[in-house]
Amino acid sequence: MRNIRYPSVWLLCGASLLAPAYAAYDNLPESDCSLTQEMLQLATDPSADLAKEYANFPADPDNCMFHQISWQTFLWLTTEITNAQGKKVPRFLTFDRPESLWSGAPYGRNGEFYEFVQAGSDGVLVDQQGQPVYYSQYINDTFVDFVSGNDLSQPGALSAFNANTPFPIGSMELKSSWKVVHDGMDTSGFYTMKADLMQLKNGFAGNGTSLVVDTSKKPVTKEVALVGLHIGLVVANHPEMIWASFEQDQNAPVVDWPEQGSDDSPKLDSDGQKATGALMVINQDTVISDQDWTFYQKGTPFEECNANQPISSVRIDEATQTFAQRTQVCRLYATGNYPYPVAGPNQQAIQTNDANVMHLNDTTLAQIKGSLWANYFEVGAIWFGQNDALNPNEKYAQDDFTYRDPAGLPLNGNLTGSRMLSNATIETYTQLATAENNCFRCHNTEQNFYPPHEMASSGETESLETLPGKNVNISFILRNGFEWQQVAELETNPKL
Amino acid sequence: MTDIIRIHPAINFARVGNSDEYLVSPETAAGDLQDPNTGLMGGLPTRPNDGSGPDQLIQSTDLRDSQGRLKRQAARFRLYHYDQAQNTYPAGGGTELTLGAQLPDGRTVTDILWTVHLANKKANNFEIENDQGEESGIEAYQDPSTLVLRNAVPPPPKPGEKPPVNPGRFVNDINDTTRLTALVIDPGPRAIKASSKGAAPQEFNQATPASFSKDGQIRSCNYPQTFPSQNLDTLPTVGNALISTLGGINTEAQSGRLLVLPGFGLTNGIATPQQNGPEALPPLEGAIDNNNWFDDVGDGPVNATVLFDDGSRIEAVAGWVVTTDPSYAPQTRNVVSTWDDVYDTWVQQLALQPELFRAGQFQSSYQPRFDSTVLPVFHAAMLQQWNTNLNSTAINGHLSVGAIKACDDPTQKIPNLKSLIRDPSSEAENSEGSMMPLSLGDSGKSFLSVSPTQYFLLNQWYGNRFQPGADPLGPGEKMDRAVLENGLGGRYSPGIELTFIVRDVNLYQQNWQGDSGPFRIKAQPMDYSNLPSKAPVLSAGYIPLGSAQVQPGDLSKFMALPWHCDYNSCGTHLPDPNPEKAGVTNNTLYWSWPGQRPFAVYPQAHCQYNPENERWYYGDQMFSIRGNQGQGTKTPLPQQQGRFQQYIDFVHSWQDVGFIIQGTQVPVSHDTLTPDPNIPCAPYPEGRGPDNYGAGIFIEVASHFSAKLDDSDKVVPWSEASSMTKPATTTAS
Repeated sequence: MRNIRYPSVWLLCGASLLAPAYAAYDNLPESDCSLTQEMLQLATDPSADLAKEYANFPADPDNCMFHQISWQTFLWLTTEITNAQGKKVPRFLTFDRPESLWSGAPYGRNGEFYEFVQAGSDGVLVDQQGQPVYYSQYINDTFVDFVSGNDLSQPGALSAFNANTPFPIGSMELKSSWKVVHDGMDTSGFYTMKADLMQLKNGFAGNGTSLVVDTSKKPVTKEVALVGLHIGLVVANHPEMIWASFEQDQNAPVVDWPEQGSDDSPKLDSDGQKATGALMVINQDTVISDQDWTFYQKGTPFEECNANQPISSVRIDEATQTFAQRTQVCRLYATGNYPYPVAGPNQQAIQTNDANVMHLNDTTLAQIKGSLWANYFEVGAIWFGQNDALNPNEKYAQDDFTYRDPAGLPLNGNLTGSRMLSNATIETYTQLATAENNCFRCHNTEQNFYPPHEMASSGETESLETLPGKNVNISFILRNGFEWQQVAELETNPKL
Repeated sequence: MTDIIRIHPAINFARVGNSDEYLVSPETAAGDLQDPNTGLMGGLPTRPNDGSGPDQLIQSTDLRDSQGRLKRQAARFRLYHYDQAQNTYPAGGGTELTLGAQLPDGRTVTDILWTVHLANKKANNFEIENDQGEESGIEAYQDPSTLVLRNAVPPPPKPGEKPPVNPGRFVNDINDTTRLTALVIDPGPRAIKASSKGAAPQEFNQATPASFSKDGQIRSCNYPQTFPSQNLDTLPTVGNALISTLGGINTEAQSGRLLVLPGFGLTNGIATPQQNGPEALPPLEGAIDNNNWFDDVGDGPVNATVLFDDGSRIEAVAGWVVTTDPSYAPQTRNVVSTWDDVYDTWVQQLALQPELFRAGQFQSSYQPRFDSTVLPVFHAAMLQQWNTNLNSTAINGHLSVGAIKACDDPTQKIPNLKSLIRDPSSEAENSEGSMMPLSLGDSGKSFLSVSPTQYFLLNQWYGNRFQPGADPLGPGEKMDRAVLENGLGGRYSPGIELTFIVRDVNLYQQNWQGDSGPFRIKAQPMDYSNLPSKAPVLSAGYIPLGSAQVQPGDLSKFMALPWHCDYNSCGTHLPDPNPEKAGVTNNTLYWSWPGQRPFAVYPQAHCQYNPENERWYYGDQMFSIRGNQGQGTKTPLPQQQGRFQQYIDFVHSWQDVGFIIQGTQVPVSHDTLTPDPNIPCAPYPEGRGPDNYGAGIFIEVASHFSAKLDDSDKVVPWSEASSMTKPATTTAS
């Protein structure tokens, strides 16, 4: 059986002897995917950048190259450089926050953390101390220059923007997840920093109850630990972005799927009763790990894993900023793919991908042994199997799709890499849902609708414009900004 | 001058309850904005009325009687006078005739003789699933050899095959006299005079003699009534309640309008021998086709003879009544309603509006009216949130389209209609799990599509080929439409009120121009004055795609038996078919009938008051069907949530389900403040604040299920089947 040598808590525990064995990954091909010394050096050189690597990304890359560039970018982003205040920080923390580009952003313009809701599931991730996990986003200069240069923070300009124009090569957007450091927490394996956290309260949103930001209170400065980092990166031929995800290695245990063929009741019919086919089954009372993890209590059975805590119903103790419930996080797919060979022509690509992710993690972690960042690993990455296949008005609800080449000819495209990629701290609750279980399910180029805005002054509702489908909609930063700015303008200049 | 009198609605629904008391079924349509100032939506039932004044909308406190029993909903029929034959649709016009009303020629209405005949033929009809266990809807009737008759003795099992758990016990012949006598519930006709001023209700029970109107008089007849307990050893499911009635008729005292009351939601089973012990109820194994069971819904023709002071009389064009499930979310419009399917059928196949469709094609010159054809689709989308566990992204999208007005530029509001709305003619889009409407589809289709007519009309709007305002309907035409707009369409598996037969032109009186007008059922004339002495009167009757005329009981017989099982099971499901894409099947749970069978709701008890803006908000969401009765509703499998795990428990508890109505109709009282100690309850100031929950929320009221969160599975947004888990009980080691 294949031993997955990371998350490194097992390594710290001393040995692969203690590492769980993953039968489901037994039949993966051999991989030699790793970073060359040159790649590593470039990525960790504080004075270097990867612009050439992005621009010269080959037109006929193999699977490993996408993961190499992802790992290089992660290392580049986390390499310490001196910020404007003369302090050494990981590079990504010197990037702009999206809120800085939108004057209508309701929060975050002073760097405070305010995001606590997971996309799609509307859930909040609660750590084992009952604290909410916060999220913050960052954009690099290429992204900023593109938005500013085209005035895309203005709704009118974005609405009228050429639907076929993608983000330029080198554009990067990041989403990070942060656990609030608790008393007695061993932070030795985490990047930590002080952050100003907006306080949360039990309030109202739309027509219902909801966990909301408490605007009546000042942010509270607390120590936070980085537990996850999403990277969306445009390289040559891939305007859809390579979406790679990294996590701290103590976050959550991986579900140990039974060996393929060991069970007899897979895929369900519409009543959820009968089942045939390739899906595997795990018993609900299977304990996923006998060790404590940052977001998992030892001995928790599978049935209690990843139980959504929607903001509409979860209640916070406002004084302590804690919840009664804790989320028990289990990682369903170690490398962002279903752990068994699936039918169809993509089988080999998937298995190659999984082998590459594992080998690249193993070798890179060994290469950076001793670094704080050796406590983080790549969960996986996902991109289009075809070059320049991004078109407006596309949804990627399925892994296979049709796109049009510049001549307008329809071609078959597909998502490839880690096709069920979720970050256990950012997409905790949608790991299993086929309609939401990878980045492109939501990051598409479809039109975006917004609910009518209720005016603060009058309580009257005003309709917001719909954002037409376009290539830049692949970024939710633009989609969110489109709403922020419309709302701010309405509040400033109410319609008569 | 022509004098034509028509009964409206052409088809109407009465809804079962377990109370003797009743409300009047809604005559406005769900999702139709009734009052732009208050935001009140249509679809609400009204309080009983003697016809002397305007109807009063119900409030939440009207839904149950003083003993907490669910009130039935009566179908109300009215008469309209037309002074010319109908050649077009809509034709407008029509004046209601009530007792004492005058015709243009001066004649005064002195009496109205109503005759209604209800029957229940469910147990003597074909199964919805064919011999391969598939639901193929009306297509099954293209090859009658694939049809399976309910309650027929099954063929001997093949080697290695297990015998059925609940086999039928009758011969495999739908016209067999024993079957017709034992399996058809037929009380015969009942007639009533409006001049009795509501004092002489007529019950469809054994104790009340059959009666009918002929030659301007009501006559009794020796009708060979058939009830299950007459010929079979039947057992009740509740107390000692054997099915002894299918309802009754009465009139409004002042107006003389007809009220058809339904049955009480009862179910009975044919006593079944047990290996050890006394006879017992037969098992309830399936959602749709259960042998050896009866329920007490039904349907049949509604006729009227109008008498005038000069001794003359006019026979009105008949209507039809269907008694059916309660409508627990009466204001939530179905994206595809019964109307949408009926209208599509009449437009495409019966030349209803040649200016819209002729020579096999929709006409691009046709300009639909926004309020009647486009807005209902958007309002339906907007209202789904009150019955479903949509996530915020979906709700926001629905709110966005729900706010579209006729004066908006369609392409600004929906930049890409083609990618948003599923094309009903596209095979590929049938399985596209991200297009709208995003609920489950009809037989053989993974997802629901709007009707071809709806799709065309939406696209006309999108191309700026539309008019503002509503269709110029006459009051009778308006009622015909509104009632059907409150029924379920699109997904007939088999449905709630009516099923796929509404798409069969053979169901209708097709020669509609002239006296009858459209949407009338092709009723078999019944001669009650010349009955056989004992032989059953009704027979196989209407069979889809066939030419036989329609008998009492021929519409409701295609629904689930008993209806309770199908209602219980139709919460959420995986798509069926669920095509494998790149080796993976869709594990997302979608809604069956979200507008008609609420799935996840916001109980009144969890609503929260915000003193800062003096407004009520909805709180925690719970499953509409929940609780611990019998074997309860809780389950570790998300795909089984929101329903009783055993059908029999819903047979016992159907009347406990709550209703989802607009906050304006829910009075505020201190009793309604949240009982949940975990929810910090904002104090409601004495004598201040609104006296109702407001138009902005639609909340669950009058539920007898526990609102305690611990007593229900937790509702989470947009869940998926736990296709990778199996219950702990199956653990071997």
